[in-house]
Amino acid sequence: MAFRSDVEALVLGALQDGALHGYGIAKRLRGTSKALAIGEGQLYPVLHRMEAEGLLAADWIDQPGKPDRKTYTLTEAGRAALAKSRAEWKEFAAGVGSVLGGPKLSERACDA
Amino acid sequence: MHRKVGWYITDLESRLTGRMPKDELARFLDETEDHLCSSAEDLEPEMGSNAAVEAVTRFGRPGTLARRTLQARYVPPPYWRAATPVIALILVLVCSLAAWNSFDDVRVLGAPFPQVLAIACIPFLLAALALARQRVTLALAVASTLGGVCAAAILAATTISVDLDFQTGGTPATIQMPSRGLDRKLTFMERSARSANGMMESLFNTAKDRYDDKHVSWAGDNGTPPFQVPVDVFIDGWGVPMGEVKEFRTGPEAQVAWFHLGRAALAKWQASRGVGEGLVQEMRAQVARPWSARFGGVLLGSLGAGAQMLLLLMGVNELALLLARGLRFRRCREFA
Repeated sequence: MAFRSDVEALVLGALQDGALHGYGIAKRLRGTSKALAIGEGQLYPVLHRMEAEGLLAADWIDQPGKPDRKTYTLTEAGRAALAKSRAEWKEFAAGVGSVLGGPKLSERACDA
Repeated sequence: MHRKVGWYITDLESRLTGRMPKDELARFLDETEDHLCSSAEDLEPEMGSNAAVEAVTRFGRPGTLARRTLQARYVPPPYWRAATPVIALILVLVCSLAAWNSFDDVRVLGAPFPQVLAIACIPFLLAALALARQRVTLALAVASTLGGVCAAAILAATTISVDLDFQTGGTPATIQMPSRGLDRKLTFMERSARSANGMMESLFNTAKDRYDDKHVSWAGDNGTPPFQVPVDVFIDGWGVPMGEVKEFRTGPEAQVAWFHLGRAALAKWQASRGVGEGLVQEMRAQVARPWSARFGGVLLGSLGAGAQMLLLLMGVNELALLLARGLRFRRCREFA
């Protein structure tokens, strides 16, 4: 099985519906993974690395009276990486399911 | 901004200042502050006055975040970047020792050349420290200053060739320096004549070596300051009054003037003793040699050393960073 829990894959999934800032991504991931158990701030090194690798694009939004807000969106490379991660997850889930037994995950659940 | 959030931002900034570009750091701090403020706003209905504290707690310790941010950028720990200034210090010591052995008799503004070189290396070390803290602009400015100091040292060195070992105050003094069993008397003036004495000494040395049964001396008087100096040259007890030298100054012009004076005096002495033209030419060459040799050596050494050391520093700095990236210095995964 190729897939394993990965913050990068979760970030790509969180951004598939549109732009989000760091806190928005952390809210979406909260409760879904133990990846940020050591702190929401650990998300930012990942975001910055993914931006440097070209998987994410960033924009700054001016907020009067507040610090500027940085939002992230998926690039074409990011969408391709998301699709790859989704395929790996399907394979991983199928493999785990076949070993552990029990109800099989539906295709819709894998596509979520 | 809540006090707790402000403390967090300040703590994080102190851990990252000097280890990443200023503009990137400012953006990162803005992003962090935005996250904390948004989190505190969401938590306020539930947590009340403790919302900011909870937001900071959920965000994580600033030390951990700073370390992981730098690891993601492959910035090596501080002690690794200390390699650049340490290597620079070793180079300075080695060059100073080499200069001491090669140019220990060269004076720059009255100070030994190796000491001047050591002082000129201070901006070089500062440039190394600036590079270690990724202050490239500051390093270039300091290195340029080093080049200017070296150039100034070269200019100063060209005005002074060789100093006598002994100096007095403002009054004429007499020195007896035994050499090859022959006492040599030199009477000289303070300061302004010091540099000229080097050339005259060379002339006298040559005459002494050739005619070591002769006694060569030269006397002078300060005269009326500041620029009128009566000079008499005595060679083998035979006085050659040279009259007054007006507009007497230090520097290359004075050395040339003294050189011509000495040459004229020796020419007269040579004619009276029937000495061949070859001796005079030999003396000229001996006097000229220190000029060209020292000027060329100091010029190439100082200018070249400044530029080469800067390039070496930058190379060492980049090599240290490359090695750190290759070792993937304590890079860790982002999730527990």
